[in-house]
Amino acid sequence: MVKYFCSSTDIRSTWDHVVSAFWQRYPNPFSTHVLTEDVVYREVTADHRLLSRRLLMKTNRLPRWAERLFPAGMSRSVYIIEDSIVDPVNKSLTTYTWNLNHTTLMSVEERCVFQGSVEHPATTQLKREAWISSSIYGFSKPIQEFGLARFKSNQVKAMKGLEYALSNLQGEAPQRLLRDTVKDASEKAKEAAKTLASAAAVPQKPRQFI
Amino acid sequence: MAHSKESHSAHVVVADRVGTAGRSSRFRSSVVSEPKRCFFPEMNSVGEACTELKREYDTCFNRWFAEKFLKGDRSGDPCTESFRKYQRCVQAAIKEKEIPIDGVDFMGPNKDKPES
Repeated sequence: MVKYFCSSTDIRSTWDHVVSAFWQRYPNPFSTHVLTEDVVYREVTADHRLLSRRLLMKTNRLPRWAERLFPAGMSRSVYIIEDSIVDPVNKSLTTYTWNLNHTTLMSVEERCVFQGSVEHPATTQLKREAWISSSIYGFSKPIQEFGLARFKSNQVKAMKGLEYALSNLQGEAPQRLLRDTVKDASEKAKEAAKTLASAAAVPQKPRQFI
Repeated sequence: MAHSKESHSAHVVVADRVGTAGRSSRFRSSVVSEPKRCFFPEMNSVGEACTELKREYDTCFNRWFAEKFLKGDRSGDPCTESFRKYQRCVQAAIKEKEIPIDGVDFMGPNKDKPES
């Protein structure tokens, strides 16, 4: 079963700034779980679009109840691919991100489109979609719920990281560049995490694992 | 919009003259840095030996991206050489660590998704 998640946000920055910050958002205070970052492919097409592939390595700390399900020697690292297309003519950045390993446990795919606007050049629209699934027999639902809660929480961190990179680029103190839609997502993520914790009957309070 | 690492902090040199009889004066200087905007280490490469090459390439790319690519300037790419060196290193590290990145189609899983 696949959970689908979709959201829209306006970023109070020009598209040019957003795209530049996209390449420079690591490291940031919210990305301590991202250990390495590498560009492994890059090409400028004949029609002046930039195709890139980045390989990221992240830690993958699981809650105790999930850890018990998996072999002790299982790698704690998750490899993530982020493919992207920058189209400066149409002012769009499309990214597609997914995990290479640990896919049986959980597969998380995310597509983001950062769209600039000629009518509103000071703003960039971000549309995000995610597909989360797990095929662990018998444990699918709790793991998916956990994955969804973690994903939503990660989205908030990712936006904060991008904000941070944007404010560095613009030479300002970090300030709120996002409208309230993200705040709503954060509240919902906290609720989802609480629901999950009580459903899994784990005594500790919900923590951020990645 | 260069993001060169060299420009992160400005240095102000304060020189004090320390005189010693019979010798040429020596200047004791202290360097006062303006606070850096951020104090986080830069990212590492997955290949430990490749980190320096990665950072060199990233610096070149970020400058080219903002000053040329985004402005529609299609003149040559100044980062070809640094990219080549970096890739030679990181692709070897990927093979060595057996990271399953080979043969993965660009935007692979996106192909079965509906249009945004």
